[in-house]
Amino acid sequence: MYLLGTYPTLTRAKCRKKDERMKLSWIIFALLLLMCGSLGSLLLTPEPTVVIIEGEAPVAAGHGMPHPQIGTMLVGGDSEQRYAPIRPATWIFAVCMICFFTALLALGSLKAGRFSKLNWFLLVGLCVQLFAMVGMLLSYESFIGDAAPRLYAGFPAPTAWMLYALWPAPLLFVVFYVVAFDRWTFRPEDESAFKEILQRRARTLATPEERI
Amino acid sequence: MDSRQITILVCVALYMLMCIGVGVWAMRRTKSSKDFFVAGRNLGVLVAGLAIFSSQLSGFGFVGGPGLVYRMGLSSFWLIVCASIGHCLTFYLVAKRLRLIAELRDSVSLPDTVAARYNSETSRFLTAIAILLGVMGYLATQILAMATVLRSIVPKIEFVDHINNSLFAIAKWVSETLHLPIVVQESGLEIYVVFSVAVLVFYCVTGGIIASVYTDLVQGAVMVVAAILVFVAAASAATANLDGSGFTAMSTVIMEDDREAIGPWGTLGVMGCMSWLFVFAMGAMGQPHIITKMMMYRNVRDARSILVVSLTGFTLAALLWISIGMVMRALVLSGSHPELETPDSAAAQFLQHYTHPLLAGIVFAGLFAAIMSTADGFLNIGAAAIVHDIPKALRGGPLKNELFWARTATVVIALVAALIALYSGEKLVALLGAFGWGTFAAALVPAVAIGLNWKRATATAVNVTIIVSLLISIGLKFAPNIWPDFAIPWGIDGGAISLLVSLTLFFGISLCSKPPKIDADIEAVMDL
Repeated sequence: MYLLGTYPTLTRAKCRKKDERMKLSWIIFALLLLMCGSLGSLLLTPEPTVVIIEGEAPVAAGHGMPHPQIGTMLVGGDSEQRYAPIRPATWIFAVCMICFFTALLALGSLKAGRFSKLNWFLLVGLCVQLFAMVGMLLSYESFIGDAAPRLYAGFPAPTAWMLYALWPAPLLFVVFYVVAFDRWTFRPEDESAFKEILQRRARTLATPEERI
Repeated sequence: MDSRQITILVCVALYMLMCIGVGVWAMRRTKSSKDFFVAGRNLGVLVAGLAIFSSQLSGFGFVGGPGLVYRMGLSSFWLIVCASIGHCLTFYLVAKRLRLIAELRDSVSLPDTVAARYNSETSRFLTAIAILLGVMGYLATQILAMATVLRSIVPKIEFVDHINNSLFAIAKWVSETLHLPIVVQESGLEIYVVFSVAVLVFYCVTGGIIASVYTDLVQGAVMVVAAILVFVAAASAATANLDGSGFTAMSTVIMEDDREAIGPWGTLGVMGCMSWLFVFAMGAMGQPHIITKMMMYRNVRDARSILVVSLTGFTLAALLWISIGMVMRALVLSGSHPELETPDSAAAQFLQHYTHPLLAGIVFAGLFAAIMSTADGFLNIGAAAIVHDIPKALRGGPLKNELFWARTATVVIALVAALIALYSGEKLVALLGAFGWGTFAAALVPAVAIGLNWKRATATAVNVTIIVSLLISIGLKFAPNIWPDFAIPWGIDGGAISLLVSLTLFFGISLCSKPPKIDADIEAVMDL
């Protein structure tokens, strides 16, 4: 039970004992700064340009160019030309982003500032997500130099990594949420504690000062 | 009018009648402002789950999404891929604590919860203003989309044109008489806007959020069924018209033309896609029309089932987005289909040429479902901001007879949004359009998603991040008007920049400030 006496005293005492939220918030802040750094460096990196129509001004080739025959479509163009200048910043941003997502999930699953033994699952989830992201990036780098890419379940390898590994990877967190809900996210004792908080609030509101 | 048009019109008409029926049914269940705004916090798993996913997948998912795949290749797949981690973030960080605080403080809106958490009326006011601005922008574009789609399926009849001209004349007279700051120009959409808004307002005014979520239930189901059928039809169309079968045939054609288009980043490139993953995965936690529904479910324990229902529904409905976009790009590239006039016509062209009329009817009903399920959520939170949050922030208490004023505000918001959609001109629509997904994400994710889980978060940090994120969003939107050559390089999304700056400021300011004083009951709930 969290609530024995007046709830503020007790919860604060528990938080002082071992509050992982502070540690985690510094980790999250550091990840955000790294992501800002990598994004900032990208904003300062000039995009390559190509001339599409003879005699006209060159256009940026880093994020899609007009299709030469079909006006309503875009093309990506030269893979190497648009990936090589931003490769390091992309890797930093991608890895930090996955870590950032998992750190936020950890922040959301803390209880009174503490981790449970069940939270090892978050680490497994982080590893699986990182594996999928790194696999996709490495596969894309092979795809750039591959003259005749094979298709896996209807898509080239890096796209297959995205669709069949990165997309479903967070399902581990879904499974954890569903399976461990009663054992960690909202336990029977949490429900009792919440009912007590509700009762205390109702009693407080019933006092004349609060009504005023 | 051929049999195909009749079938489509019948499907859409049946769907609209269903919405009106639900509105009448829900009216009897709406007895207080709590019923009107948060459905008495009594929603079951299926209703809440489908309402959450259908609010997330607006008309954009049915029209804009396939259009993006046709135009950009696989880039926009990231808006779907992000949903799995986005749902996890939303449920881990928001679902439980938002629901508990809503019950504890009897909150009927998101700004109520923000005010309770930070003990700050300024935070409530800024949250309500951010929501209201976003509501106007989103609602205007949803109404415009509904009217445009309706016009495309209703055959040209002289009688309809005559009514349209009369409505235009009335609008012009009202504008001139009242000296309204709008320029009334003929758009040809008046009657379609009036009809769409009439149905929407009817069920939202009579039944409030109860009507909204129960229509969402049907809307969600229609979207899922339509998407599965379209997915099968798209694979069959590829097999029939291209060399090879299904998605392998589509991929081969697209790769032969441009291998980047079928790669994981599509034509947008790696950082454009990464920024979309960031802003769309995180952004769901800041969309008021989505997370407000997390204050409405009956039992906290239902959250785990709602997560499964919502994520499954979203994933299945997204099949339509993927399949239509890919098959149309492949068919046009292979010469099996003529070039589209606009990318957004990809869905309509596919339905017209490659599906059974009944399926086209179901998909069009699904399209209206997608648009209306988003619009009704916005109408409700907009009404809450006007009659509940702003008065509470400014006068210290809500209006008397809140239910009556909530219904009145719903009508007024719908009318203003309709006028904005029809006559505000490009600049205002662009300004309000800036308050889209990314702006909501940057303004509200720190305050709600982080703040409910981190006791060091301060009211000052919330207020600064809301103001800064709104300024960055407006600045990025209007920078090209001042510097014509301005463009964010590498396709990086402006919303991602805004969100990243806002989160960093939020953590930075909070960590540098004195720990805030949180109300004892809220602090206890944050520890659960």
